Amino acid sequence: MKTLIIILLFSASIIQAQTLVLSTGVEKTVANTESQFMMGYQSKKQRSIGTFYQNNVNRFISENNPKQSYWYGVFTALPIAKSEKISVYAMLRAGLMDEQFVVIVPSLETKIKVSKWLAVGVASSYRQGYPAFSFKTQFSLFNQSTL
Amino acid sequence: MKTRIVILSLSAIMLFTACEPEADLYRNFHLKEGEHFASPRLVESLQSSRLAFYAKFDESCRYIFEETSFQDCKNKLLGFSDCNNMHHENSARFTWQWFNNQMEIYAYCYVNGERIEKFIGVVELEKENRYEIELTPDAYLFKLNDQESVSITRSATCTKGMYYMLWPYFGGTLPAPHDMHLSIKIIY
Repeated sequence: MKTLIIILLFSASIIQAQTLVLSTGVEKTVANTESQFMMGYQSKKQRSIGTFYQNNVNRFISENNPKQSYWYGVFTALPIAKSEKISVYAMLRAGLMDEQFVVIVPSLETKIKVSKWLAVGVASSYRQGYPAFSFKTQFSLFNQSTL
Repeated sequence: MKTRIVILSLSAIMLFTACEPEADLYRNFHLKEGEHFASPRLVESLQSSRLAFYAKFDESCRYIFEETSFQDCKNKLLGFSDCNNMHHENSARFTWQWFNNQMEIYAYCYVNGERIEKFIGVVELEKENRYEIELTPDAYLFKLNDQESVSITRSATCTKGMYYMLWPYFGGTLPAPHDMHLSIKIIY
């Protein structure tokens, strides 16, 4: 966890961040449903970098793997199509599952800007060999354009 | 604006709570005559210390080599390489062979480059069987259906890293003598 904080602070200094973004949501994979928390910085060009944490939602833990699974790591996202209200991003998450397994997940995210501070996003990704889908809400803090 | 938020929220609720029939997660693998690798060829990494799956061999998986000395070559079913290791260094897999007119299942590991094989059991063609490899700090535990686990000592490798999955492969030395089909469903 310390490493993640250091990476985050380091990233902030090198990308001259414009906006601190926090997001929370859920991701449905072939195995279970996970809650998702992300924190990162978004540049003027809408490039993002940050950290994330995800864990199983208890109700959906598999009988075959009856333990609380979690993973955390870093993410980066680049816009591949932008407009004032809707943007599409290519995202890559890389992290450590259950403190043991390195996992790398590519995804495609569509984000809809609801207000200056709030956006909602849906994403599809490739997890455990199958498509996974997520929904999240994102809050922009310290948005320079609003200061 | 409020309407949009309500629509998005309802869509999200439907997406994550809707009831639907369980998807068929069986993957069908095809071993073509003259080839070693099964298709489709997949890239995945292990994400749990237990790899459990169902597998089913069909009648096409019977084979007889003219050169009988190759009949006991192990064909790979499913497994994984150990932490940041290539699979010929440290890995654990289930293997199969058509031998003595029956389908035999083996545990098949590389431990520090040394190959270790242990007989696990016999399965019937066209029937679904449950396979499981549990990764413990010092051993690979292989389990077929409700049988007792077969243990193979694991080398002390790293504890954090990439464990890539190893998919069906025919051989051994010789490629598939004819087309074969098998199905695998990983249990998540």
